[in-house]
This record gives sequence, C-alpha cells and structure tokens, in this order.
Amino acid sequence: MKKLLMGNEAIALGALRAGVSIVTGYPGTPSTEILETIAREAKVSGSRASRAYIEWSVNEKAALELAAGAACSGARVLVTMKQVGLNVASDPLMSLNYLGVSGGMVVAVADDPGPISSQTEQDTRRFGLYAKIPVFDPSTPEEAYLMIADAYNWSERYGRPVILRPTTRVCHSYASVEILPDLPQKPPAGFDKAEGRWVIFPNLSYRSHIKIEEGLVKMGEGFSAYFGNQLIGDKAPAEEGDDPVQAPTLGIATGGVSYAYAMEFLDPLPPQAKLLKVGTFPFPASLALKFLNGLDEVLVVEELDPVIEDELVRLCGINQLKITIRGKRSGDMPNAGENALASVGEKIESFLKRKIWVNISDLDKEELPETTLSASGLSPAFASLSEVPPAALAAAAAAAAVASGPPPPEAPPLPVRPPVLCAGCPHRGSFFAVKEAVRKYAKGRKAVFSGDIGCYTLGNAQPLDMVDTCLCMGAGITMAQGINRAEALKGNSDSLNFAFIGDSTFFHTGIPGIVNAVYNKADIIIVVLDNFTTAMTGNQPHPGMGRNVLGADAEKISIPAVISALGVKAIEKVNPFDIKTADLAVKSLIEKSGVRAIVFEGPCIAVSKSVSPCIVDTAKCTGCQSCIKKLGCPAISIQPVSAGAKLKALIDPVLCTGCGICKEICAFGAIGGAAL
Amino acid sequence: MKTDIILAGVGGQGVLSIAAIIAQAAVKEGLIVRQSEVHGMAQRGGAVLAHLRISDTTIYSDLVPRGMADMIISMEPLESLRYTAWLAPQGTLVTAAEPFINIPNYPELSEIIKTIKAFPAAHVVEAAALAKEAGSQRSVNMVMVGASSPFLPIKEGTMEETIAAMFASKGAEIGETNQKAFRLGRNAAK
Repeated sequence: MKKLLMGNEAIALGALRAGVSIVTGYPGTPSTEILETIAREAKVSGSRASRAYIEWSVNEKAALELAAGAACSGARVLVTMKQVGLNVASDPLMSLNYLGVSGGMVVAVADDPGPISSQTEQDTRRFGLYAKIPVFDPSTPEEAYLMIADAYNWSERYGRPVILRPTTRVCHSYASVEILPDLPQKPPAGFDKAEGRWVIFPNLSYRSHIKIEEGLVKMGEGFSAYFGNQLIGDKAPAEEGDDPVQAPTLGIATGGVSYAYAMEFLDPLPPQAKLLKVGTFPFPASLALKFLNGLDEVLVVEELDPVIEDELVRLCGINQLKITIRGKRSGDMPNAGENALASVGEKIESFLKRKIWVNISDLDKEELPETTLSASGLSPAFASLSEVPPAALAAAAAAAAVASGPPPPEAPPLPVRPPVLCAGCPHRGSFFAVKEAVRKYAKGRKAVFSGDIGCYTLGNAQPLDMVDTCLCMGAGITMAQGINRAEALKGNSDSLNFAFIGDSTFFHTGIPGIVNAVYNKADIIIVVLDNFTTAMTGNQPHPGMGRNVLGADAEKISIPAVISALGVKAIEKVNPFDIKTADLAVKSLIEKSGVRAIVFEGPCIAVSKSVSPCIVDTAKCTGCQSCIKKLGCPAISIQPVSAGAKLKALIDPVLCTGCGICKEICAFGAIGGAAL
Repeated sequence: MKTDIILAGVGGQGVLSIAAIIAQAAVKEGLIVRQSEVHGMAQRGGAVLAHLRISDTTIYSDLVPRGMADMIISMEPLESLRYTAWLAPQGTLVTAAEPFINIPNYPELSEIIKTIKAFPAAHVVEAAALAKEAGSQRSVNMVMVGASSPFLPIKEGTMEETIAAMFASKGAEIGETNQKAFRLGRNAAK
C-alpha cells in the first residue's frame, strides 16, 4: 500500500516498522515531525507506537543519555534532533560509541543545508567520520523509510550507535511511500550487569577503539554491496571481436538529495558517463574503486562538506590513480548553501560538455544580470528569504523557450517579506516594555540585549531592535555575563546587560547559566519570555506546561520557583500585555544590581484564543504612525480611508488577536475595541 | 504526463494545506507525487513557497526546474510574482486578488494586478468574497484549490472526495463550507 508521507513521517514509520520501543528527542527544524509522528501513531490503540515509550526530553543530551540507558538494556531506541542539537548531545554520543549498545540505536540527526532554519551548515556525515559512527544518508523519503530498518540491523550487528542523517529537503519532502509489513520485534533483554561492561574506563576505551576501527573497515566493505550505494552506467570493457563499446571516461559522484537533482538531468545516463551514488559512511571504497576505474575526470555533487570528494581524492592517492576530482576543493562547486536544480544542471552540463537540458542551454547567460549568475550556486529554487528573483530572469527564461507569443511582462521590483513576530505575539509587549523602560529609566547607561534561539530572535528586527547577540541554545544568559565583565574591565561599571530567553530554552540549557551567574556574582537581568509552549518548532510541550508529548498530565515546573531556588533574589512576574505594570517592573530591576530576573507570562497566539479585534477610530487617528513605528505589528498598516484621503492606521480584523498593546500606546486614544 | 506547480503565499494563509490536498488527490488517482516545503522560521508572516510535482512516471527532484512550472498557485498577488522565473512561457498563473499587506513598502496593487494579467494564462480570483459566500473567510485556500483545479490532471470528483476526507473530523458544516468554496473557486477560474 502506498501512502503520501513527509520524509520525517517516513522515518518515524520506518523506525516503528523496525520495532523501535524507546523514542526521545528535542524539537528542532527540520527534525521535529519524526518524534511527533510517533506520538501521533501512539494514539492508535494496539499499535506498536502505543506500546513504545516516547518523550520530548529537556535537551538533546538528556534525550541521548536516556536512550543510551535503554539501548544498554537491549531496547531498540530512536533519538531525534537537528544538527546543532547533536553538538549538545555529542558528549554522550562520542563515549557511547566506545561503550557500545546491546539494542539497536539510531540517532536521527537532520542537517539543514542553506541553512534555512539553523545557525550552522555543519555536516553530520563529517561528524560521523570524526566520532567513528556509521552514517546513513537517504536521498528521498522512500529511501529513508527503508534505510532506518537497515540502520538498526547494522547497529546491532556491530553493537554501536548509528546515525541516520536526512537533510531538510528529505525531511520536508512528501512522496508516496510503499508501506511494508512490520518486522519482528524482540522485547528488550533488560539490563545485564556483566562486570565492567557498561563502565567506561580507559582500558575498556583502548580495547573498544581497536574494535571500532576493525568494525569500520568491515562496514565499509559491506556497504559496497548495500542498496543505498549505487554504481550506474558501469559498462564492461569490450571483448575482442565485439563491436567496440565506448567505456565511460567521465564520472559523477553524488549523494543525498543532490542525487535526485543530478538524476533529473542524467536519466538516461549519457554513454560517456557513469554515476556513483553514496548513501553510507564509512565510505564504500571497493564500489568507489570500481567507479573510478577507467575515468579521466569526476564531478562530485554534494551539499555541505566535501565528504565524498575527500574520500575519492584519498582513494585516488592510495591507489595512485591519475584522475581529476572536481568539486568544492577544486573550486568547481560552491562551498556554502544548498544545491538547486539549476546550478546542479549547469555544472553537470558543462562537465559533460553537452546539452542535457534544453531549458538551461538555451538561456543566454551573457544577457542575464550579474546577480543572477552569482546566485546560481546558492539556492534560487528556495531562495533565502531575502532573495528576489530578478524579473529579467523570467524574461530570459521565457525568451529562451521555444514557444511563441508575447514576452511575459516585467514585474515591478518586489519588496522582501521577512518573517515577523505574529500579530498578538506576547514577545512584542515584552520587548517593548524593556525597550521603553531602558529609554526612560537608564538614560546614559549602555544597555546590551542578548537573545537566544526561538521565535523571539525575530525581536532583532526593526522597529523593536532588541536582540544584539544570538549564538546557540542557552547562550544568552552566559554571554550577557561575559559582555558585562568586559564592559567592567573597560571601566564601564554601569553596563546594563539583559538576557532574553524563552521558556523551552530556559529548561533546555538556560538553568546552568543562571547557576553560573549567581555563583560568580554576575550583574545581569534575565528576561524569561514564557509563552507556554515551544513555539518556533510548532508548539511542542515542555516541562513548564504540565503536559507531556502524548497530551497527558505531567509535573509542571514553575520557572520563577526555579530561578528563586537558584538564589536569585529580585524576581518580577508580569503580563506582557499590561504595558504599564511591566514598565514599573523593569524599572525596579534596572535600579537594582546583581542577578535579577523578570518572567513575562503570556500565551503564544497558537495556543490561546483571540478576543475581539482592535479597531481604529479614524476620527481620532492622526496618522502619526507611532503604533507602527513602535510595535511593528503585522496587523497594523497605514492606508487612506478613501481614495486620496489622509492616511490612517488600519487594523486587519483577521490578523488582530485583540492583544491590545497598540491600544495602550496610542497617545490619541484612537484604538479601541479589545477587551484586555 | 507531468504537471509542475509552484505554490506561494504568506505564512499562515494555508499554502501548505493547498499543496497537501492536491498531492493527496493525485496519490488517490495513482499518480506519482513529490512535494517540498519550508517550515520553521520561514512561517512567521514571511513569504512561503512549496513545490509540487505530479507525474505518471518517475520524478527524481521534488524541486521544479526554473522556467518549467506549468502553474503558479498563489494566495496573494505580490507573492504570485515572486516566482514567475519558474513559470513556463505558457504556464497558468492563478492568484487570489486580495493583497496581504504586512510590510511597509508594498507596491501599488494596481501595478501588481496589471503585471499578473499580462501573463498569457492568468486568473485573478476574488477569493475572499467567494470564501465569504461559501460561509467562512477561513475557506479562502479552498477557493484557490477550486480555482486551480481545472488546470490539474486530477478529476473534479477526486478533488471533492479528498476535501471531504480532509474535513471529515471537523463536522458536516465545515465540510460543506469547504466543498462550496471549492466549487465557487472552480467556477471562477473556468
């Protein structure tokens, strides 16, 4: 039976098919839907998922360690996270590889070329090589569905954790996937106290290291025959007497989603070329050697690091093969950003020195503006948010086509539409309150606003402009301390250092930073933006919500109580929509010193109901635009009341949630209608 | 047979639901489908884009090649123009007429509409009014599913069945509103 599945759903169903019984993770785009799908399946009574243990852990390190305990007890486990989450979980994962597992462990780590929704373009294939952990790299949802079951088998065969590494374009791609019958599931054997087996002493690490290296060699050999790795177009040399067969001299090596892009141009494969698809690491060296045999030149098409490229270069060196390897190292392919069809097509076309795609060949590149060509290595297809495809490109593409008819019109210059805090977002009120209080009560003092990872990073945009730093989960609180120390050394004893952190991030890695601040007598103001959910990734529950991943009641951990227990004396708790009270609360903290905290409690619009929208009284509105300039709420625009009339504020009744912040700040009392 | 579609709009307008319904209906007809979309940061009031490819033979990439899209479906006029580089020369452009103005420098709407209408197969649909007529302003995206449906390689009945299944859990009234929105949209674009 075929089912339309998102890549992440395919991974989840593949893991359930393979008999996974413990699932942990922390949300992070593009990995989140893997665990969410398993939680959804768990609601089907009698299903395999309903018997599994599933949790959103407090962070990736906790998720991996819990799963490690279960895998040491013979359970098949799945841990999900995004690539930067692996940085948090890398400590236990590195060591666990030395300790080993008795139940299969798959760590699903989603990479994000682009990056579309991440801080880094790190490559988990490289992490796997460094950590000496095998990596499965699917190129489609269908392949991911099959690969994860194989990944469990490889994990158990070698007794080590295994990484499944999809990228955004696999995670969030939909395809019709053939659903296969469940594989047999063994109950966990339970924890075996076998002496010293699970205690990582240096002696054990030494012995493990030897076994790990032996295993990697064996796996590399095994992977040469694995379906995830493919050699296409490898013709046998002509036998004497036969018609001469032209042996390919050009090779294309690719993997992940780039394989799909390449095949768009290479099916059928031209006779002068063969293709190597690499879907696993350690590298399938014997298959790759077969591929290299007889070639003059190879083009490597991959995203992020030149991992396949480096392996091929190494293989050529060891085997003294005189083959030119073209890729990122040679400057033939871009070092950053995700691949796109057009750029992959252009590169393959010029590599094969023949027309393979009429649409690209016919584009008269000379006439295209410079910007179009320079952008081609990045991601025109899913253009970064700021990219506006030049109208000239549309004209060129159309002019190049065979069809007749009038040329399509020139579009006017299109403004970018960046993401913004939603209308009714409580963070808008919190940022505004702090900004105004600093303006009013901290005249002459230098204020620096450290942000963190979440929707509230968008607070950096105008007009709020309230995020000066953002590094990684939990770093805001600790970076604020460092900035404050440096300012003090510079002689600025008056520095005001705010650290904004969301509720889920607070639990993830915020707490140790507060312990550090209190212990070391720091001088910072911690601002917790508690919107009762993990908003950015799609509203997952967290320890402050009293609800778990399955929607069941859970212990609710109070953020102000935690902060207080950590030794912070000055703590304020306010409603971000009550601007006046918030103003005074921030003022009181500005006037104090040491570690202080304010917790803004207001629900995300995705988890709360709207009240009646605000309305502008056009008779009172002077068109001063101060509501727009101060708040940047997407529900407020400035428009003429009638054609040619004076501009007045207009509130979109569908977008407005009735939060009422604009009502509070209008100096003319021109906004009304919302109940606070 | 191959139909390549670009779907555009602003985060929160239901662009991804349009893609989901068309994709689901195509699968129901035994067609091969690939669809790609962006989540996370991009959703918050920003420009949203999805690629959808339907075929009766193998599809490798889920991204549509530039200049090859058979259709652009957009929930918003400005956003419909953002991806015209992807549209084939005689491709269809179906967009809702109503602007979504959450940026200070939104261009003159009449200019935008004029540009859209200059495309050889452009359909500007009064989606908000039709949604209201159907019974709910929230059914705008279903009006757009309807408006794009005459140009899809999918039977009308299959589209209707898919919509019915999608809203089955939300009660008869919401189901009927969305069916009506679909029909009004379909008639508007035919």
